[in-house]
Amino acid sequence: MLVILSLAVGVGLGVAFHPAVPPSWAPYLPMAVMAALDSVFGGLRARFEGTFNDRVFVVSFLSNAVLAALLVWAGTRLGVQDIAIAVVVVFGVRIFQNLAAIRRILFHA
Amino acid sequence: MTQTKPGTGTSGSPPHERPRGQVAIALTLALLGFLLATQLRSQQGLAQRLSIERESDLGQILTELTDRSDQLQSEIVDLRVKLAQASGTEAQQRALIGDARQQLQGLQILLGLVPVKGTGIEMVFEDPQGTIGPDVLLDTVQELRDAGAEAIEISGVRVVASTAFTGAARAIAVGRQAIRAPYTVLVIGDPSTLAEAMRIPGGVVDSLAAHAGASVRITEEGSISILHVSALPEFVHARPRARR
Repeated sequence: MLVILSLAVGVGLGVAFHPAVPPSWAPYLPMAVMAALDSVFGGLRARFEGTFNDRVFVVSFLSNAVLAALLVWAGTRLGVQDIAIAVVVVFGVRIFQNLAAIRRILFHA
Repeated sequence: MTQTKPGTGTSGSPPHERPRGQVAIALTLALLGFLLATQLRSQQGLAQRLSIERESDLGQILTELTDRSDQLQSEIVDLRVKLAQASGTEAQQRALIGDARQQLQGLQILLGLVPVKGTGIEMVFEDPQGTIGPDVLLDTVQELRDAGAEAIEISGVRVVASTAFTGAARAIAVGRQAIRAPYTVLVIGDPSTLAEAMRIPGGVVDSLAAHAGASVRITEEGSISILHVSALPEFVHARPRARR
């Protein structure tokens, strides 16, 4: 309930203010979003496994997002333009793993 | 990320977290929603999209945009044509309404339905001996009309197409309303033309000499107001007929 409500509030704020993303930030925001999504699914899994800790969740959420963005930024600086793809793949795999774990717990399959 | 590894949770991991933890989770999730909304929105912006697309994709995007642009251009042309047509008919209608309004105004003045004002002359007929008959006034009106009079009022009676001059000297009736000397005639038209028409040899002023004691004073006015109005006549017999 709290989860859905806060999500809705965040989306509402984003839609209401529709902040303009500076073009220089454009490559990093999606990475941060991917990392954040990964953290959320990780948290969800931990919850089902009974190991959820709010502090760990909040910290990992923020640090993952910032680190992902920083990594892409560093990659661009180093001339490794496609590092964004690496980040996407890593987070994609992790999200799928977490989803698989959640599915196993929920459906025992 | 550490959530996926076992053992990092707090001991026992209570089914309900501390209130402060709840707030932190709520804030974090709100941030996620905010980020998601922002990102999704920014993806709709082309400028942001272009900076992260690769060259081959950019080429495709360019082609798509060119097609779309052509499509929109032709749409603009179509809409322009429609707009021109619409405004054309609108202008026509406005002109028609303007014409009709002007016609209505003219007819209202002609029928004496509205008060009017403008340049004109004022004539005052003095008739101490009672020698002026309705014929003199009728002649005057005819002369005035000939000189381009646009509206006439005689001693408070608006003179229109259906106004009759009846009675006799000392008992003149204009449009069935009795009037008494001195007779005041207010005329709207070109002042000098009207005044001249009154004074031409054999005109109104001249012929007034045949009436003992009668005199007329004519003054040209920059602004004459004719306030009396006539009732709209009811037509009992005359009906409009289709033209052949």
